[in-house]
Amino acid sequence: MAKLNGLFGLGNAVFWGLLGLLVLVSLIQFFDREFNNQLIKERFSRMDSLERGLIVLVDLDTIKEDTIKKPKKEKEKKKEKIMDAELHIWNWIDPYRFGLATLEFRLKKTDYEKSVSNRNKLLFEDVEQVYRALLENDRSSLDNMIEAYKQVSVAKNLDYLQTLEFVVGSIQTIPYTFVTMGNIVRCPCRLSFGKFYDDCSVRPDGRGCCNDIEPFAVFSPTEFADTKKGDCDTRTLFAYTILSGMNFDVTILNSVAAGHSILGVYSPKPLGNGVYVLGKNGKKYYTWELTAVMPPGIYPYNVSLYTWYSVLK
Amino acid sequence: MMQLHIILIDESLLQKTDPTKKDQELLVFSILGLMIIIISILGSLSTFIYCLLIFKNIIIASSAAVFLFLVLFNLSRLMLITSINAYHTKLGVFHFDHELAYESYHGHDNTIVKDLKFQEIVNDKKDRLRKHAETKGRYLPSFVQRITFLLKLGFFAFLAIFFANGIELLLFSGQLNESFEMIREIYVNQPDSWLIKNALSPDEKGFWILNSNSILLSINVLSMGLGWWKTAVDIVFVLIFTIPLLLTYRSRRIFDSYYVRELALHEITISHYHHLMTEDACKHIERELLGMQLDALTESDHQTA
Repeated sequence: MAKLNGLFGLGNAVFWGLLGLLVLVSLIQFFDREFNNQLIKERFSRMDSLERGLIVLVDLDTIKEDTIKKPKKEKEKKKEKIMDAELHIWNWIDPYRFGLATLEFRLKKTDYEKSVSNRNKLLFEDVEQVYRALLENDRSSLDNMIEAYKQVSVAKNLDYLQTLEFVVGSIQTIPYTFVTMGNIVRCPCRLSFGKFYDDCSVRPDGRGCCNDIEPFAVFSPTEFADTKKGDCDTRTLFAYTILSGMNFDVTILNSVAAGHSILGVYSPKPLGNGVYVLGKNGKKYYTWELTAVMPPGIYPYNVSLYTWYSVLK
Repeated sequence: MMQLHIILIDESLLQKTDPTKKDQELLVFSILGLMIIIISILGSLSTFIYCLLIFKNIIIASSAAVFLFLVLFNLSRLMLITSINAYHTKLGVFHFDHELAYESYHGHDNTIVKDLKFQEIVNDKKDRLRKHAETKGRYLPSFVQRITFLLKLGFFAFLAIFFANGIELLLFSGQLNESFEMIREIYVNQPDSWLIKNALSPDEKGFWILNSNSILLSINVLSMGLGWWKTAVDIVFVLIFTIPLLLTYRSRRIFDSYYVRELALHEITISHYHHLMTEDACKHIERELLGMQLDALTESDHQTA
């Protein structure tokens, strides 16, 4: 047989060698080990044009249960300089960028009790007055929590919008608890947005419900910080308390037609085609749903934008 | 080794070549032919996969694969053959302009003798050109040849990447299906998602090979999964598709082969032979026309008289 050398011999060897290599790696399933399923998992979790960061892949087993640590002994209490304050640790999966997130803050039991008593004393009047009364009473008791949010923001070097996302994400990820008052609607019940049990606790399925919360079926911000129970208006009031405490320009947007309350956030930069409502001060406040994980500027409601009005701004 | 003489080689052209050289050249061109067959098979297989994913019909896919095999085989042959020429030998000038090699026949023999004379003339010229046909030295392709080669190379590289994706979809179908299953799990709470509705839900024909309706999604997932390995596999395919062309362009065994010279001589000989035939036919017509003119003149003289 004629011997092949030179460039043709080399090209011939490379051609058949590569073909053989291709067949070989297919046969020995070399790429089974190299196929990066994790990357696909991550990319597809982040991929949804509107629902930015809706899904973050974290092994559910790694999320710690929220904890409340009872006050320590007198000596330790003095050391911490916070009398009768319980340490609350919120753990959640941040839907926007961080994955597992933690917030540690202290809340005094007396402040909680004071807040409940303050809410019970309020009369069924103008909604703005009720919100203001709850806010003014509770702001100081949430100072530690506000400070904790600030510290995370500084530690993680978050910008304006990122900080907003972090705070809002911590609220959005809390399972929904329906709150009722009077006898018009009482749990257990089946409503257009789901059925609810007579179970005033934070159920993972979001079907918990607290009856007889007066006035306006709204928990105070301190109550929410302590128990995590709350529906739309409790959440918006809590978010407003925290974010305004952090000097963010936010408002509460209520709609009687929608029977709903959402957060309005001012952004120094336009949020793309995000939907906004003009506040009483003429500023644009982008809509932000707090009962579900949803980025700002999304408007999934069936009522006109003009039915929303700004409270506390 | 079994030699494939069927594809590119007209063995009769190598009659006057040294037997050892002849064997070597037959082997070289047979290998080249085999490479083209392999490329066509790869292209055909890839077409089969693509068509199966798009049409979900094995008859359409098989027909398209056979059709593409024939197209690719002939296209590759065309590309390779048009890259082979004798421009780098002293024969090149005659190959470029055959008329420079033509010689005329001035005899007036009958048709059979004339044919033999023509063959004698062209064979004599062929032998003289063969002696003249040694290599000029280092082969430097012209600018146009270089550009043409680069275009051909680019075209083959494009084909390679296109067909590589099809074959990779088949090779990694197992991993891809696992990934699709995982994506479905990620979107389990969003059944109305575009991705689930349009790409990952089977239509009435069901799934074939891959559990997805979207080739683009499959290629996207494949790229993500393989990462740089995908580029490596693509490069392997590009090399496989372009090596025959590169060899035709740069290997002395091909461009400086006796076979190429003989092919050029054969082309010159054929055109030379037909030139002689045409020349003779022209002369014959001229003579006939002259005869007709003389007849007409004679007839007119008679009428005048």
